[in-house]
Amino acid sequence: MNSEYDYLFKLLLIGDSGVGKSCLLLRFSDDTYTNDYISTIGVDFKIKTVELDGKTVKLQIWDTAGQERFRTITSSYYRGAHGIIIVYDVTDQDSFNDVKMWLQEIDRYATAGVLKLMVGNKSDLQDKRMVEHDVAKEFADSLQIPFLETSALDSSNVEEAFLTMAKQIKDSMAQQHRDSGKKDDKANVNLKGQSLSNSSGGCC
Amino acid sequence: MSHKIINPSTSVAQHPAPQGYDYTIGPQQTLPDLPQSMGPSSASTFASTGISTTGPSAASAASSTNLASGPSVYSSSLHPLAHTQQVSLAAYAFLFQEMVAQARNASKSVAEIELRLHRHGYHLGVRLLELLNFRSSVNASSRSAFFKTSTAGPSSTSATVSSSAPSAQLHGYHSHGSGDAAGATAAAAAAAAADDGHALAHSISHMKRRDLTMVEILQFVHSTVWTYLFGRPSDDLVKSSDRDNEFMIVDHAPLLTRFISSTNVQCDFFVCGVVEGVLDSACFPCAVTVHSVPDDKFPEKAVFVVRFESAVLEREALRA
Amino acid sequence: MAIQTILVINKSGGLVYQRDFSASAPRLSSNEYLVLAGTLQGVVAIASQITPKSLQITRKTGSKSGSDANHSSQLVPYVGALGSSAVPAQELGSFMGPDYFNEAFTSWNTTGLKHVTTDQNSLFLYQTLTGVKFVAVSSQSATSTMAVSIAENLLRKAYCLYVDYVMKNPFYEPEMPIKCELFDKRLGELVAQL
Repeated sequence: MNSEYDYLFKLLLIGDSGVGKSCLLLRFSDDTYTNDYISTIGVDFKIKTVELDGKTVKLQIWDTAGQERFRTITSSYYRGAHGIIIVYDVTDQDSFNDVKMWLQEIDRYATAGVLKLMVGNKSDLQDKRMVEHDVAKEFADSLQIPFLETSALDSSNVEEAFLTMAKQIKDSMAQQHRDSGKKDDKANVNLKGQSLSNSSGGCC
Repeated sequence: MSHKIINPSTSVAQHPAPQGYDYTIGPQQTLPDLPQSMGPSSASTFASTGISTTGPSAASAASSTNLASGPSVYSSSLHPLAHTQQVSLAAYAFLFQEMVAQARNASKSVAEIELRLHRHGYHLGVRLLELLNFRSSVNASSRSAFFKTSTAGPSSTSATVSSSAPSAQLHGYHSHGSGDAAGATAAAAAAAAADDGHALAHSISHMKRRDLTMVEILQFVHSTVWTYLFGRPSDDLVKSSDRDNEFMIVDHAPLLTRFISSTNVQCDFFVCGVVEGVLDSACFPCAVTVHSVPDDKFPEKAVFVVRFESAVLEREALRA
Repeated sequence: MAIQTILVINKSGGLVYQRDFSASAPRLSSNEYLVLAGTLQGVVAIASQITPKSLQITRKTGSKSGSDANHSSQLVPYVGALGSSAVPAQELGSFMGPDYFNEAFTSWNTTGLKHVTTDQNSLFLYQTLTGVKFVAVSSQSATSTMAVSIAENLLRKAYCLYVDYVMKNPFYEPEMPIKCELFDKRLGELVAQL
């Protein structure tokens, strides 16, 4: 069959401009091509292929960079998203304050029960830190959103977060279907025979 | 207005039937012991209460011709309203797909899914045998009396409270059989029937002869059961050339799985269950499996293999 | 009109089906197709934003009253040549007529993108009420209204097949890539009849 992947998950990356969403994504993703044409219409894509339980899963990550200009069409980006990652900058208090606003957007546009993840970026800039880890953690816990801090220098944390999210999505979608094993069908079946309906159809 | 893709078209009634089956009206098959003389056009106007895909207007047209010419009791419900209550194939397909999906969610293996479908079908088969045998036991006179009144039935209450005994009895039966739009009418008729103190059973002078041989009961499945369920008899009934206890019912395009791309799961196990239920409760213990045997002409062809227990064979040998 | 590729894009902009019908089809990787699908999703959303609201409203009332002058411009003529002739009527899924439809229809896509034409290629887009998009890429630069309505008829039929052979399949996971043999087969037949 044509498509080489079994699942396609839509992940959305949101947050104030300049918090390093694209940078984060570039770190995570293997495919690193960017296209000017694409970024002009307000969204960039990164696609990551992962294997989960023997199924090929494509994570299509929608990076909504520069989207203030396209705020009116945001709803179409949120539509049908499986997971949303809210990014803020640990060196920028405003970007953390805006997380609340982004959460409101999610409530307004995204499907209820969408998976969320909060990420504090640029954690390597310790001397410029404005948002303490504990404060953010407490905030995330109160909303029951998983939280982690990362930086473009150290992306292992992020990779893990993305994969955990993918796994959660897959598990929530459907139960494990084990109908891939091929049965040996016609092994002991002999389908040769003589028709009864043509010869004796009229007398029952 | 022009988006007709959701509703089946009502303009399809004119299409000529291909192979003895007009999907707009129902099966045209003349069933083995069907009285041919019941009406001038009886052979071509049987309505089906199974899966038929007619739009409302075509359905009512079909039912009115029925009432005039006398339909086959094999293929029609005794309830007068049932003639217009045809099931849309889309609705049926969605229902079936949900049933499969549920079985799938509850199962851990292919075999388990198929087993669940099989069980669902089995229960249906057990009930179906009773119903279809009952229907084929209603004799021609009570049937025609019934259909005469049922023409008048829905139109006025007074007409249904007929003085003739058989019709009142039949209406009494309806009220048990349905809780539908004509509830008020049926209830009135039921009251009248109760006053008369008759039951439908009285009008059955003799029950249909029981099917005693494997071939007979399989003919019953091949024609009656299949027509009831799918609106047409199965495409072939085959006796295995290797094993005495094996028979095969061939369906070139199983209706239930028409939209289901072949996977490792055989959804037709539901039908296996139905067949097994019918045969088991008719005292022909057997095991039924299904195998898809695609060929060039019929890519969705399925073969239902019926394997009777040896006791059935022994019994048949004794009779012969 | 040579159809090179047919795509199905789900309502969230994910590519759930892609199939090439000719050897000359552009060789894009699956990731590139995914990006194309997501981009189209954005472009359609923008197109609906830049369509003046007044125009959207007149069109809607026009199609309701059926007598408005605007109405005729929104009607897509039925093109009978494609589709049913080779396939017997009962093969058409749950629809039992000789064809899924046989008259002009009103396009649901009143505000969005319908086709993109370059010197080399044309891209046609059919949007359903629920937001599923069917996209056909043709190897010709087709600008005539006739070509557009043929494409719209074709994609609408593809939608009919999708409704029958994808949505009624219990093994299909909604919104996920379509892997249904019967849909493949029927779609192939449909395109072959062009």
